[in-house]
Amino acid sequence: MSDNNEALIKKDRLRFSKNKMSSGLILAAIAANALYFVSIYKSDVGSYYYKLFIGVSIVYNLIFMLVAFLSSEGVKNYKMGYAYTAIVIGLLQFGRIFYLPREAHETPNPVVGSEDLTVMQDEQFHYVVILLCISAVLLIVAGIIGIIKTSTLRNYQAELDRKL
Amino acid sequence: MSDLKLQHLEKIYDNKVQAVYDFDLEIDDGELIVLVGPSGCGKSTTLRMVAGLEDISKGNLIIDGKDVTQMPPKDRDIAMVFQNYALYGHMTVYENMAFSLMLRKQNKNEIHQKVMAAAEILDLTSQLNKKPGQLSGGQRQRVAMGRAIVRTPKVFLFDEPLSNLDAKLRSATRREILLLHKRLHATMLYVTHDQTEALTLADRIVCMSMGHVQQIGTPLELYDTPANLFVAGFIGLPPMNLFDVEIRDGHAVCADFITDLTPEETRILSPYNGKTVTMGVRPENVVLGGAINVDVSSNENLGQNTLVNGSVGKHRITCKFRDWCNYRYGDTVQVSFNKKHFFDKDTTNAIR
Repeated sequence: MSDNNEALIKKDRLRFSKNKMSSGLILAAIAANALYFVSIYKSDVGSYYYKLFIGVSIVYNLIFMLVAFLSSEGVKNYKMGYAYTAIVIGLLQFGRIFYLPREAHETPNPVVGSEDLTVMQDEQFHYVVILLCISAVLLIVAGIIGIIKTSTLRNYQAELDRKL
Repeated sequence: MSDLKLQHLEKIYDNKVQAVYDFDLEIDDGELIVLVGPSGCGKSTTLRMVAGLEDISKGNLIIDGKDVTQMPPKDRDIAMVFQNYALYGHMTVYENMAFSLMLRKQNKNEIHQKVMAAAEILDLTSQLNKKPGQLSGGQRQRVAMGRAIVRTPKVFLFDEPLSNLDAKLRSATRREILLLHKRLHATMLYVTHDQTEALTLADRIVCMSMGHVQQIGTPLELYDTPANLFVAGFIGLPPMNLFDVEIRDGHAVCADFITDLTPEETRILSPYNGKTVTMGVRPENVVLGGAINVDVSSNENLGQNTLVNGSVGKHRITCKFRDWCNYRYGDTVQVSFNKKHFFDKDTTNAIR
């Protein structure tokens, strides 16, 4: 089988197979995000932010998971819009690092006798930042793969239509 | 593709019930063999023994010169198409066809080429992204066949693949199977209880009853020269008319009619002179004109021919006339028999 032929078959395969790789990466990103918010809410950080701020955070997590899941299904079926959506929510994951975890990491602990500590300590901070980074990278990579595969398939379909 | 030898196969279940007795058959490379018989005759059991889904109690199974009697099904290199399709409902047609190759971790591009080639053969290319639930029965059966084709097995096994289809679709799918066989030149073992399928598809037919092979031969042999009463009655639609007659000096005599025997018939029946034998006459061998009176009870016009049911004295008879007839209940038709079959009354074997 020549290289040209292989490439052609690879393209043709796209017509009958789903973009499971992008879809799987997004689902993994959702899992990483779930670990992130479980870590936040089960710790004292959750109790410290027991106000509107934490409510917004919860709502955002729910919306994030819904949108990410829809993106996962969308990119699986080669929908270009969902591939871009995955990239956008991936970038937002990076942005979140500078919001809750960093703020909590830099705020002194209000508990009497713990003034020398921060609300979120180093260990947890590193853990949640890594999770957010993993989640963001997975989403962006999934989006990029989705864009590449979707445009390859679109061009190939157009080529086939022209031949017909 | 390859040849297949079923050497004296027997199937005895744990409860001592014997389903298949001494099944001995050699199938040549590229041959399409049809196992036919009524329900419970052991044809599916035989097929399942070949597939490896049933243990072989006695005998040997040789595929392509290799004894596979004790080999597990996955190593026998055979593909089976089931009556109920056995497709994965959550997978697309493409995925269903590719699945067995994916399990074998074959190269994805090669899998794709095989699936596309099979889809082309079966005219399924436009259906590849659909799920089985979106397909008609005939299309689903084609997918099941496609799944078998992509594996390029040594032997194809079909277990009543058309039984779930309506009459029209069955006829179309039957033609497709025949074309597929011609195209792939594959060795195929096909089980059915439908004699029309057997007669139209088979290179050779194996007619079975009660676990015993009754006759092995080409469709024409089974139709024209049935080995015994069972085959005579089973093959042919409507079934053969049977009469107990006494052979008397060149005549077949019964209480309701006398018919002349040809010199050849007289010769082969000479040992039976004065004895009673069973005479069989196919409905299409009953012709208008003659000395036998048929009292008509029903007249069924089928377009190209007419089925007339009636009685000759106390014997029921079915006649298949080529003409368009309009007989009414109570009419009398004079007929004669242009071809007769004779069977020994005790052994039920054909007298030749």
